Amino acid sequence: MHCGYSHGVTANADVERLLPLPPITFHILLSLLDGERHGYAIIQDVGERTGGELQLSAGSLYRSIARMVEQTLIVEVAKRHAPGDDERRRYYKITPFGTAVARAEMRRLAELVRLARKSGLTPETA
Amino acid sequence: MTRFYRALLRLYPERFREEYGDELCRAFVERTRGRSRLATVAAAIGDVVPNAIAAHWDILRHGSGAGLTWPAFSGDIRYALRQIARAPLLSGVIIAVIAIGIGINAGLLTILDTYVWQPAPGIPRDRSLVRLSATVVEQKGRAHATRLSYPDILDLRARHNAFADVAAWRLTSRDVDMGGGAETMLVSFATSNFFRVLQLPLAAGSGFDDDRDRSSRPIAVISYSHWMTTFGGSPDAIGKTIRVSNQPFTIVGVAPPRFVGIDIRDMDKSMIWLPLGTEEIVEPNAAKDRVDRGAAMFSTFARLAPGVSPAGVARLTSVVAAQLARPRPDNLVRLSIAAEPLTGVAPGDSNRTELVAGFLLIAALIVVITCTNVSALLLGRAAVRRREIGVRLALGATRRRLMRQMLTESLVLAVAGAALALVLYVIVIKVAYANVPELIWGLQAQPSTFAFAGLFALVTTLAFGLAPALHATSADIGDVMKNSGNHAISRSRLQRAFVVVQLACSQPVLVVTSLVLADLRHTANANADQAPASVVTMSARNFRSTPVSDLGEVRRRLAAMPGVRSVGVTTMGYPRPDPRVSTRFGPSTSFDVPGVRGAQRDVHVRQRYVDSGYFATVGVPLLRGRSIGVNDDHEGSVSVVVNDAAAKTFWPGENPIGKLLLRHSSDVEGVEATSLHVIGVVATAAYDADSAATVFAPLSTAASQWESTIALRTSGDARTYVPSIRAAVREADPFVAIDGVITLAEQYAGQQREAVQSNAAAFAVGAAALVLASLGLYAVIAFAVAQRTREIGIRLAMGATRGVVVRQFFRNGIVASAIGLAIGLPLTVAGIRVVQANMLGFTLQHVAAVLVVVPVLVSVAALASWLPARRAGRVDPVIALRTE
Repeated sequence: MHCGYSHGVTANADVERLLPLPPITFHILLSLLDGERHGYAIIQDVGERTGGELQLSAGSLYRSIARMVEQTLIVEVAKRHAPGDDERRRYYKITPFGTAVARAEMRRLAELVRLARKSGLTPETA
Repeated sequence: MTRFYRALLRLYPERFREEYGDELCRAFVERTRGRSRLATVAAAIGDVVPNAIAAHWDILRHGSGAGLTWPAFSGDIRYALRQIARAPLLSGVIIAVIAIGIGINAGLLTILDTYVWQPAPGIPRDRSLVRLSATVVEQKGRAHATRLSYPDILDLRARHNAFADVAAWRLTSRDVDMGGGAETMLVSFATSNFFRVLQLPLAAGSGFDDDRDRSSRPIAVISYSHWMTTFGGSPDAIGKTIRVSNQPFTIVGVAPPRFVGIDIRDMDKSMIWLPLGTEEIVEPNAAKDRVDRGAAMFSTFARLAPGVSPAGVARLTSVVAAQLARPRPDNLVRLSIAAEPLTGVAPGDSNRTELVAGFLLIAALIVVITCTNVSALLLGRAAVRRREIGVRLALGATRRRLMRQMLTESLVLAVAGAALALVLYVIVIKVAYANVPELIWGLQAQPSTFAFAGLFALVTTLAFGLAPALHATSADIGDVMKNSGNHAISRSRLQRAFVVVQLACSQPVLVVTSLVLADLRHTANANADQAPASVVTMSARNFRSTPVSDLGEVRRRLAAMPGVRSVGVTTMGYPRPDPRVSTRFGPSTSFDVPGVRGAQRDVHVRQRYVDSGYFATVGVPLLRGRSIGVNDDHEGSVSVVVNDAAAKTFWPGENPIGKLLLRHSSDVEGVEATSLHVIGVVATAAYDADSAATVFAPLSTAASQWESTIALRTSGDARTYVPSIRAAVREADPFVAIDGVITLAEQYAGQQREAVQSNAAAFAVGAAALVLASLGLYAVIAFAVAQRTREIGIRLAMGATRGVVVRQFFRNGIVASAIGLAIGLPLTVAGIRVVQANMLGFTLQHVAAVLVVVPVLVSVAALASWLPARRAGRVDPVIALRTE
C-alpha cells in the first residue's frame, strides 16, 4: 500500500496507477484544494464550478468519497472548528498525495490538449 | 421523506451504509430541499438504486473495494460450495437436471422465437407493422381464411384512420435469367410501396417508383445474395437487364442483406421482386384480375396509423369489411379483417398454432419435470442434513440465517446448472451450424431467450428450494440431536411420499410429452432408395388466360427430345364441371359405390388426373385390367383406374374391374354425381411409402391443368437433361413456368433426410425428458434407501438375512412406484384425452409409443430400490450402525 503523506518521494507509479481519474474524482479533488469541506458543500461547489453541468447525487458522491479515502487521496478531518457549524458533519481534506494525483491528471489533460492543438484542432466550430 | 430514503439505503452494502448512511441522508435532504414530494421520491430512487448496484459491483470486482466488504454472503457461498463438494454425486445430479431442463427449454424457445415470434430475417421489429388477415363467413356460417383482392387493398388503403399505408404481394414462380442461364425463382409481385412500408433501406438502387402500381415499366429488385453471387456486389448491377419468363426487366434495386421476403417459409428459395404493374408482361390475364374482387390472391401487411393498436383494426375496418363483402357473390355474407404483428410465419399458415402449442406444452412439461426432480433432490439433501442443522441451531444459529444458507445453496446449484446449460446450448448450436446448416437456417442463439430460460430456472429453483429449506430448519433440536427412532420413521415416510408424488407427476408428463412428439414425427420411407435417378419431375404452371388450356405443346416437345423415353402428366384438383354448376370456390369431391351407399362416404379417397404416359413414366405397376390409354383421355370420359388401397376400400375381396364408382362433386350450389367405370388397378410405386386410396381419372377430365406435374423417363441419369428440358419448355410455351426440376432419386432422398432429421430431433427431446425423469427418480429412491443404511444395519444385527432385507426394500420400492403410477393414472388418461381432442391423426401407434414410458419408470424405480439396498446389505452391521 502506498503512503499518502510522503512528499516528493511519492512513488510516481502510485500516482500514475490512478490515472486517468474519473471526472467526479477530479472535481472533488479540485473542490477540496480550496480547503476542507463537508459532503453537501462539495456537491454545491462542484455544481457552481461547472456552471450547473455536474450535479452530483448523494449516492455517487459518497461512493466516490469512500473510494478516495481508501486510495488516500482525501482524509476525514478529525474535528470541526468553525463556530456555529453542525458538529455531526464529516469534513474532508485533500492529502499531499491527492494534490500530486490532481497535478498529474492536470498534466495529462494539458498534454492531451496540446496534442489536439498540434493536430490543428480548435475548440471553435469552423 | 428521510425515512423513505433511509429505507432505500438498505440496498447498499452493509458496511457502506453504516459508514456513510447519516451523511448520505443529510446530503440528500439538502440536495432535494424545496422539491415536490414526487420529485423527491424519484430523486431518491434514481440516486440509490444505480449507486447501490455499483457499490455491490465494486465489492465483487475488487473484493473489498472502497473499504467495503461483503462478508456474510460470500461466506454463505463458500459454505454452499463446500456442502456441494461433500455430496458430489447428488449435487452433480441436481446440476445435470437443471442444465437439461434449461437447455431443452432454451432450445425450444429459440426455435419458436426465430421462426414464429420474430419478423422474418432483415425486417426490423416494429410494433406498427402488422400482417392483415381476412376471414370470410359464408351464408352457411362456415368461416375460412382468405387472401385479399386488389380492389380490397385499395379500400383498406383509404382507411387513413387505421393505416398509414397498406402493401401487398403475391408469389409465383418463374424462370429468371440473370445472364447465367434460366433458373426457377420465386417472383414476388409487390405493390410499389412494398419496401417503403417495411421501411427497408435498399442495399443499392432506388427501388420501385412510387406510382401506386400504375406503371408497367419492366423493373425488378433482386436479392442481396444474387447481387453478391451474380454481380459481385458491384453498383453496376443497377441498370442491367435480366429476363423473367424470357421478358426483359431492368434491375433498379437490391434488397438489404438477409431479407428473404415476409414469410420465412420461402427463405431457402431464390426470390426477386417485381412491381405489381408489370404482372401482365408475364401473365396475360393479370389486368382483369386487378379489378376483380373475386381474385383474392394477395397477402397483405400494413403500417398502422399513429396511435392505432392491432386490436383496434377490426373496429376501424368493419365498415370496409362490409363494403368489401357486398360486391362479392351472394354466398358471402361477411368479411372481417384482423391485424397481428408481422412475424415470419403467417397466422393462417398450416400447423402454426399446433406447432406453437406443442412446443409450449413440451416446454412447460419439461419445467414441471425439472422442478419436481429438483425439489425432491433438495428435500433429500435437507433430510440428510437435519442433524447438521440441529447442531447449528443448538449452537445458536438463527433459523433465518439457516434458511438463507439453504437458499444460497439452491442458488449456487441453479447458477451452476444454468452455466452448464449455457455451454451446452452454445455448443449444440455451433455443432448444428457446422454439420446441418440447412436444417437450422436462420436459427440464432438468442441471448434474450437463454436469459429468460435461465432466469426462469433460478426463480423456480429458489421457489422449489424453499420447501425443503423450511422443512430442514423446522427440526426440533432435541429430537434431531438425539436422532430418535421416531424421526427416522417420519423421514422415511416423507421420502416415500416423495417417490409417490414424483411418479404420479412424471407419468402423465412423460406420456403427454411423447404423444405430442409422436405427432410431430414424420413417417420415414423405407423404400426411398429405390426411387429412380432416370426419372425427373417438375411442376408446371400454365399462365395462359384460358383456364382450360393444356400442356399439349410442351408435352409434345418434351417427348420429342433425344434420350427421353416417355412423358407423363398428372394434376390434382376437381373434375371439369357441368357448365350449369358454378365451381368458383372449388367443390369437394367424394366417392361411393352404388348399392352400398353411405357405407364408404366418409372414407378419404384422393383423386388424381393422369395422362396415358404417366404410370409407365413414374414406374407405377399395373396389377389388373388396363391402364388409361390415349382413347380414354378425352373430355367426358368415365374410365378410371384405382390403386389397390382404393380397391380394398370399395370392393374388399372382389375384382374391381368393370365395377361402377359414383363421384359426387359438391359445392355451395349443389351436388353433381358422375358414374365412373373402373378399367384397371395399379399398385403403389416401389419407392413410394404413400399408399392412400386414390382414384386416377383421365387428365382431360380435370377442370384445369393450371398447375400440373410433368414426369420424364430418360435413358441414363435424368439430371443431365435438366438444362435442355428448361429450354424446350420455354420454347414450346413462354406462358408455362416450370419449377422444382428434380429427379425422383433426389426428391425421395431429400424427403428421407428431412424425415430422419426431424425424427431425430423429436427423439432427442423425448429421450432427454425420459432421462431427466429417470435421473431424478433414481436419485430420490436411491438416496432414500441409502439413508436407511443404519436401519439395515440394525436389522442385520438382529438376525435378519441379507436376502430378506434387500427383498423388503425392493418390495417397498415397487409398492411405492405402483401407488405413484396409480395415482398418476387419472391424470395420464385426462392428458391423453386432451391431446386426442386437439390432435389430428391420433392413432394407436401413438399410444404404443406411450407404452414405453411406464415400463421405463417402473424399471428405474426397481433398480433404484434394489441397487442401494443390496449395497447396504453387504455392509458390515457394525459399520452400518455407525453411519450418520
